[in-house]
Amino acid sequence: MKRRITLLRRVVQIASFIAILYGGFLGIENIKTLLPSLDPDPGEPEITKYERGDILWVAEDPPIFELYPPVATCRFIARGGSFKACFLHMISENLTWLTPLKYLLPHILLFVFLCFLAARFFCGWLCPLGFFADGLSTIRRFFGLSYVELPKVLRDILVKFGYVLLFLTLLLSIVISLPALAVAGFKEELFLPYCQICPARILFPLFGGVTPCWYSFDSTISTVFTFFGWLFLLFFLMSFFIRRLWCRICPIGAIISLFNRGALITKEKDVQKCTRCGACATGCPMGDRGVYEEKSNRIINRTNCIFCFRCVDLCPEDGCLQVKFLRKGIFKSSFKRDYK
Amino acid sequence: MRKLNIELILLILTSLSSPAYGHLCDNIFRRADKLVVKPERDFIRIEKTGALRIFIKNTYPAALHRVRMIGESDAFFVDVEPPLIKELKPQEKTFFTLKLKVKEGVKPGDYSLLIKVGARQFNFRPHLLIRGEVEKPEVTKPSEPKTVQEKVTKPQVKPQPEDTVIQKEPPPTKEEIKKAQVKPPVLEKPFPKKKEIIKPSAEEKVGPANEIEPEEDTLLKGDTLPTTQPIGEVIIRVERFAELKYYLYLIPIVILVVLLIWRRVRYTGSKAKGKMRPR
Repeated sequence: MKRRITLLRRVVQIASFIAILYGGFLGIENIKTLLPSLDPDPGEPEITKYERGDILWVAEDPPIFELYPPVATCRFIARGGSFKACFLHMISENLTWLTPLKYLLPHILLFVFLCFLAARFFCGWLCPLGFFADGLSTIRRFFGLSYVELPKVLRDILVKFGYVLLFLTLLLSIVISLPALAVAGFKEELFLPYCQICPARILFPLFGGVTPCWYSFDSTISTVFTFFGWLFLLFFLMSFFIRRLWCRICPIGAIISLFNRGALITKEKDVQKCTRCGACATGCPMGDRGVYEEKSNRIINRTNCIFCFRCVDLCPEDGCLQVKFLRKGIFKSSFKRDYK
Repeated sequence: MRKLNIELILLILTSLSSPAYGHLCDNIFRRADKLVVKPERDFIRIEKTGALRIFIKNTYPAALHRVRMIGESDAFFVDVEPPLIKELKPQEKTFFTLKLKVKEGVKPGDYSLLIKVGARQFNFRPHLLIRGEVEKPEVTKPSEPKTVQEKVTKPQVKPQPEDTVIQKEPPPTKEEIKKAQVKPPVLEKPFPKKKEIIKPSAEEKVGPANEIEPEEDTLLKGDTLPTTQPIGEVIIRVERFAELKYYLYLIPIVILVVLLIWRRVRYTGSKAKGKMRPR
């Protein structure tokens, strides 16, 4: 059977997409977890950006779990969804509220633990935004169009841009908590800066039949955010031509990628079996040629890798590429599979 | 017939005007002769200690004397600062700070904090106002979906009639909260039930049971708040947080990060066996 890993991945992606985006439609009440709630103290100053017609308007019920998994689940999903928000949302929000670190620690521990287990496996297999991008690629293939391969320089710039975006988000979130800026109204205008430009904020509510706030020209800052929101949405939709384009600059992915090298899940290459056919390089949705170019290291957990294991699926050499979890083999490339 | 029409019009006009009066009446800023008491929050969360400010404004035409506030709770020690305001001039605003300290053995959960206010003034009528309450005394259903940023619950306290012990409104039920599309806080302990109205008799009114005992250092001996004046009460919900043992979380995080770094270093040296075939 050809491409059995990709087939399995698609099934998991669809299930994850439905579970995350439509969890709220199941009508399950908010389930209290062992982790502390990070809802703001009602005595805190209210952020009025959550009004209808504002960019950060949330048409939601409480989510089922007030958790922040390492995928692009979103606060703006209709009916609340299964999870509260993405990890970056949590960090950004609580930096602005100056929540004591000890309340965040349980959530950080969960995030670190999950990332230590599987790192960007979550991006490749569970992220609904990633699934959406894969869907765009599938449509492109359906029309018989070829993808556009970015030059290495541009690929590297995009990866660095993800870190810049992450840094700016965190910086803005902490800066606007300063009282002087809060008084001047910046706290409201610049609240959750990444959410204001994230394509998930616009796309995910649509799947639940909720129209998000597409634009707000109330102030200069909201106009700028509207512009950037459109720009980033366009950038995301360019995944139609360039595979997983958004994932290359995703700041959440940038955080998780720090765990790629060192995670319990590993991708290994037997260089003696590699014939340098290039199947892994052409098949990689992230456009990473690291697996192909690796000549000396056994473990090839690249920073950009989203652990979709497409390279393993496409590799025609028996046992050349292998996926292991805690040194136990899960998938491996197979010669017989393709040429039986 | 013509006369009937005029009467009908008058009746309609009268009925239309009554809600308008009601609206004005509910507007606290149009109220005269009240001590407006406004808690900073109607819901606070504390772990061990916490503070809450209660704002007051004298809307009487005359100064109020010996304004005093006390806080009562089964779960907290309540310390009020200042213990006494000797004079509060007309239209003057000030606040009391309630310092809360969790009593020994109190489990995490929701508890009520009862606030009473009194002053040495004839016909003293405190108007207790919860933050956000302006228009309607009942629990209002918001027109738009609310988010977690917005206030969670609004237990309301109606303006109190004179010479009665004040009746406390029960907090909104879970159904009401759900209707209001506001995330309900988890109630681990049931909220105190509606208190019955007790009309004190003339003897009771002067009895010592209703008195607020003054502190010796702030009041002169024998100087008590006259008990014939009603004392306003308001309930504030205090959720006691479970005390987080942060090191229980910090240690595993540090271990995981150290493991990660160690594995990263190890990977760098994970050389493959043999050499790659030349192409």
